[in-house]
Amino acid sequence: MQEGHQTAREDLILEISHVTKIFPGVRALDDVGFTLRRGEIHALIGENGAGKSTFIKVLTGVHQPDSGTILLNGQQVRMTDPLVARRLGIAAIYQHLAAYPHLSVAENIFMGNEQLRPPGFISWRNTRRRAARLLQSLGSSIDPAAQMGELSVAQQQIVEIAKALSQDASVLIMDEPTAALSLTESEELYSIVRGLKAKGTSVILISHRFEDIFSLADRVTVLRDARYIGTWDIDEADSALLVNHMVGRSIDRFFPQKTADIGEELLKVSGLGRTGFFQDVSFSLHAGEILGLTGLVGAGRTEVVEAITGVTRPDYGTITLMGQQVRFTRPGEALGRGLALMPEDRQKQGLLLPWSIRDNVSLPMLDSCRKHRLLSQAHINRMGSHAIEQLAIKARSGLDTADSLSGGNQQKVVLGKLLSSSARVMVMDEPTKGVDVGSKAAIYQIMCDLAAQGFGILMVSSEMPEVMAMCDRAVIMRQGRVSTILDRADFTPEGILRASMPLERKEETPA
Amino acid sequence: MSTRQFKPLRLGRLLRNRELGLTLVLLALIGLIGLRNPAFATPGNLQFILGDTSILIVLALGMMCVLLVGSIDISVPAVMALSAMTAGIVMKNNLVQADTQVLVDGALTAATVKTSTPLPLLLLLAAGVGAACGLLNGLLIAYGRVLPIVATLGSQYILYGLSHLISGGQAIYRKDMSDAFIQFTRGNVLGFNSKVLIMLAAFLVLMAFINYTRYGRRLYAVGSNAEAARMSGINTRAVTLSAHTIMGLLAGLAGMLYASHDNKVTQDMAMGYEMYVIAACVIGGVSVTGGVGKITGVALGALTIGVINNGLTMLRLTGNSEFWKKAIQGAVILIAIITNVYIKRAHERRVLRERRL
Repeated sequence: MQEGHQTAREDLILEISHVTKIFPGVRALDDVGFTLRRGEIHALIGENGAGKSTFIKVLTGVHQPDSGTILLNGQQVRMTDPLVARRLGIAAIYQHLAAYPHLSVAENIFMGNEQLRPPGFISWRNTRRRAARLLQSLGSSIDPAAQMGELSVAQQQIVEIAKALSQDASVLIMDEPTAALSLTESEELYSIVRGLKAKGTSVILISHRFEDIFSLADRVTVLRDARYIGTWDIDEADSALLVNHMVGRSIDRFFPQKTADIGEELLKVSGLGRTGFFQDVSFSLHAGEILGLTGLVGAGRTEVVEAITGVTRPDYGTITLMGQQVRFTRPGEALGRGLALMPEDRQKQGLLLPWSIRDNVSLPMLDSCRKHRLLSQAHINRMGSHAIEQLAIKARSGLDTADSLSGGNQQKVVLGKLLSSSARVMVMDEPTKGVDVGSKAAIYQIMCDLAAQGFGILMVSSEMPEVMAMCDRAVIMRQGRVSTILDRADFTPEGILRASMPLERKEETPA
Repeated sequence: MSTRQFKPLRLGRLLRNRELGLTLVLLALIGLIGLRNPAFATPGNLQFILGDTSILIVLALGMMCVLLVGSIDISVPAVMALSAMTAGIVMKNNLVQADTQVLVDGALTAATVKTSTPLPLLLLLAAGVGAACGLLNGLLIAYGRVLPIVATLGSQYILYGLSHLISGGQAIYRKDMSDAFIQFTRGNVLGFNSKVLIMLAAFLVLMAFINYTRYGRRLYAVGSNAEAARMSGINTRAVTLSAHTIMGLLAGLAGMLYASHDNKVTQDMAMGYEMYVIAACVIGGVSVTGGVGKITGVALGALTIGVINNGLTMLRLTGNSEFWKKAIQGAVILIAIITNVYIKRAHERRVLRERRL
């Protein structure tokens, strides 16, 4: 299994062995090996937090490994900073953070690699001209003078590829390039990447989508919990095998059995819309039910739950909570009426990191902690201990601060905070994002227990296995609309993905 | 390309060209004030306003660099004071008075001539002191990781204090100044006040730097997306440090212009001036969150403030009340900024509406 076939050394452009990277408290990469052949597309997969991003950052010189070697064309290299990596011909296209949204396309392409004319001033004419040529060579008609921030994600990807080409990259790393693309856009990207490969560029492709991997990659490597798991030739691999290796155990043992009975309707949303973000969103949630809200990044899922819970305000539609029509102006108001939101970014939106567990947990319910108009420390302590016990939070006491906990345990504190209220509807936005595998299983168990207690749970999730294993029904969104609502019996990976993919944009015909 | 390329709301696109919008506002202001007081819109007065606003423009150019990288500097007046005070003390200590006779209307008249350290040296000294102050701010912010507004608030007090310390609390007056320095901002070269010429020089140098050098573009890169800049190997700290040093250097220079203009250097010179400088940048379209702003916009923003200040005096709307003058200034600045925000929001809303769902 390791190294599908023996490869002659000289065929390898990149050979990474025993790379370890330690951050305070975390082993982000643990003795990882990886090889990249010349002109190969090599997929790198793993769950969130498996170490993929750290791996890229080590390869591009953003982080320096604590141990291990990197051979480029058989020579050991030390990437001390990103400039070194770029000079060596390693370019990365990051999912979010590479672009300068306020600057023009041409300037984005040549930032750091400016087109100069004597005596060293930037030649904007050459910059624009070369940018236009590069974009044309990729078959794109993007205007080099356009502002980067106003392009679509697909167009920005193409600009990033042009940028890598402008630096004569021989190794191109792509981080989830298709995460927000439609089917046609993805296929356009595939053909560009295949073109690069034909010209001898080697590509490391990071993706969650098996479509990308099976239609592009020659080999695939799995990382899990910062460790190297294995490399397979693409024709020896199938999605079940890859998923099992990513999760580390077979799926049916990983997810708990949900037994809750479905009861009365708790939340009903009809015709909800917010200009520019989503429209015509309708669904209902029942007691004991786990309802999935899924779709691609940018489909409007987070925006919908934010509008329901009062973080933002919807422009149209109605929300009915336990039989009463409601419209919240702040999340606190929603919580008071029994609707709790567990936000996507627990560190920024869910917790006060420097605060202790007990203070975080008791924050929304401080009113109930009062005794003779003053806060009762004893009561706050009890709430903290209760949460630790109930959710099995790994901490010494309720006085430990939230930032001293692991991601999974932080998430449990957020849950504890919501459970200290009298909520009956729990909205969870990506509850297991960035959480280690053990904590994931624990969070799934808690969700099932809550459902059994009669909670209704609305779970926003991008992870297909999670949606398929946990949800009774799934609302699938695309481009700001509900494309379909599926019952558990009708769940198939293809069906869900098909319903998530953006529809092709109809070109307006010129008048 | 095809007709599809045309956006339906052309007016909206025009409004987004802030330089054009600002020019129109500026012309409208000049026209309106000129209607009320014909003496306002004369070439002489407009030239006077340009000279009067030059110091503000020089400072706004520096502030633009700082804002572009996503930082801010509120210690500007203190830097001006310390730079001018240092140069002023050197000038005072080296002052030589000589009685001589000069030819006035064909007759010899007795006069006193004051000479001191050559003016270019003094300017260099002040610019150097200013740059050092900016460097200090930059070190605190880029390497000490102190919040810019807090760092420069602190350095403002330290620098004002230093001015007191080195001067022993004594201001520099006209009698302590060389003739060259007194005449410095009164002289005309090719029909332009020397303040205007220095401002133009600073403007051209900075324009070349910001628009046509790799280093200048990094100011935008760092302010637009610091993380991406770091990833692509740009030393974001060094860029922030340079921006503050440029600000300091220009503040040192501006301090000398201010001192010569007032014929006075005091320890609390130009106190509160930083707000005009920041306002000029914001009116000119510089984003206080970094990454956005054009140098022509900044100059126009400063000129708008200059026209308003001068216009308020010329209109005599407010009598001699400093309060009303300041209040109206403030209101006009606020209106300009709110208008900007409104135009930007209207644009964003339009983009949202056009987004296909």
